[in-house]
Amino acid sequence: MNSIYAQDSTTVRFLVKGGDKYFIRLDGELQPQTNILKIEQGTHELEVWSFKSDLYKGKLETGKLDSTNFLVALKQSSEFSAYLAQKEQFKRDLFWSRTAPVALAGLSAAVIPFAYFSRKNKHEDLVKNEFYDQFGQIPSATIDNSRLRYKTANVLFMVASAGFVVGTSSFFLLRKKSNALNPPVFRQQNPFTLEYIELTMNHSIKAPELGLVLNF
Amino acid sequence: MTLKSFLQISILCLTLSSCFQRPKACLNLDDTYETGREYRLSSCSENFDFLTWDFGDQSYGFIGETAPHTFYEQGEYYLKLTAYADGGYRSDEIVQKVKASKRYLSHFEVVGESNFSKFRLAFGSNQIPGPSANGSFTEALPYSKQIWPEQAIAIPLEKVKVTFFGERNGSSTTLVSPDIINFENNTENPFILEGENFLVKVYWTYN
Repeated sequence: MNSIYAQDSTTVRFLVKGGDKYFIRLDGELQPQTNILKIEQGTHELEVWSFKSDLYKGKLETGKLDSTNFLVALKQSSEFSAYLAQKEQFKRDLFWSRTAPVALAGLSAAVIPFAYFSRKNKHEDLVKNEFYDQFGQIPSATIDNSRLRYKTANVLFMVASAGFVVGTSSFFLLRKKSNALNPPVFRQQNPFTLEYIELTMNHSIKAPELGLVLNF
Repeated sequence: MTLKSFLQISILCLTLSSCFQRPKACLNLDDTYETGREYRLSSCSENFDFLTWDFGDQSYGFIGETAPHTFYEQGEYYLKLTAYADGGYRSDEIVQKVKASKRYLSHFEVVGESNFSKFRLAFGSNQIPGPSANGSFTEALPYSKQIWPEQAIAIPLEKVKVTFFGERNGSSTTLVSPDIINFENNTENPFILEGENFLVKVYWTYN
């Protein structure tokens, strides 16, 4: 029975490592986007490509098998590796020229009112305790604690004020530089469909942006 | 926002913060306070958050708008009031000299028709005889007997029996019935003793 109905095709399950969405071209013909293909038994020219990866070229030998698995490990494109390095540098530059100054100024601005009123209250307590201390009305530990609390509140206020000044000044001084920063772009052509795909970053929110360029 | 506008806003904020009103220390004190009596010292200060009171008599200081205080020893004291505002960063102080003293009987005056040779005032255990008392004494020209400083009779802050007598031929007649005056409450000057035919005004003075 088997010899009469012998199959002349093989079901191949592709296991592609290194790419989510991949394209398969078999003997120069683009295949549907599925990982299971039924192909004629024999030797085939296989090309697999995924965005951000180099094109894989190899031979697929099915033999006489009814079904088989084919493992393809895609190699990350060197341009994409360079893009990742540029992206990290861009994020660092953007952080130091804009995010850090804004965060410092913003955080300091949020802390300043609290620190201001805290310092004022602690100073009032200190003045009162120093007054009582003149007459020996309070233990010396109380006046020491009061001085320490005021000192702490004073330092917090000074640090917050300095942070606000430094953050705001840095923001204005580095604004030109941060505006001039351009996010890196990774552009790659699908070797099968000839479409261009672009990957870059949103300048403001630093989120990746993906674009597709169609060539007709 | 540009750097220029940021700097302008910063300068404006600093200018406004310096416009806070300064506190003004002011005292509403009498010249003399009776020793042993508790007073509530008040202030006429303005624009303050809190006031500190240094009574200058080695007693404890006080923080508050009106200060309860008792001077226990006679003398002159320099009372210092400090008005603080803006968390104690701004202040103004005022020093005023006050005197603390006991009350002493100063003199007494009598109004009425008298055929007594002498008057005598009994203030607790103190006897205060007066000079010749025969005659007619009016509000305009009363009989008067100076007590202070020949006799230093302090008025205690308690109840005292006060009686007024007339003396004639070696015998005494009560002209004003014994009156018990509580000097803890009574600060009138003079305090008055009223009899049937005589009106006695007793004056007191501070040291």
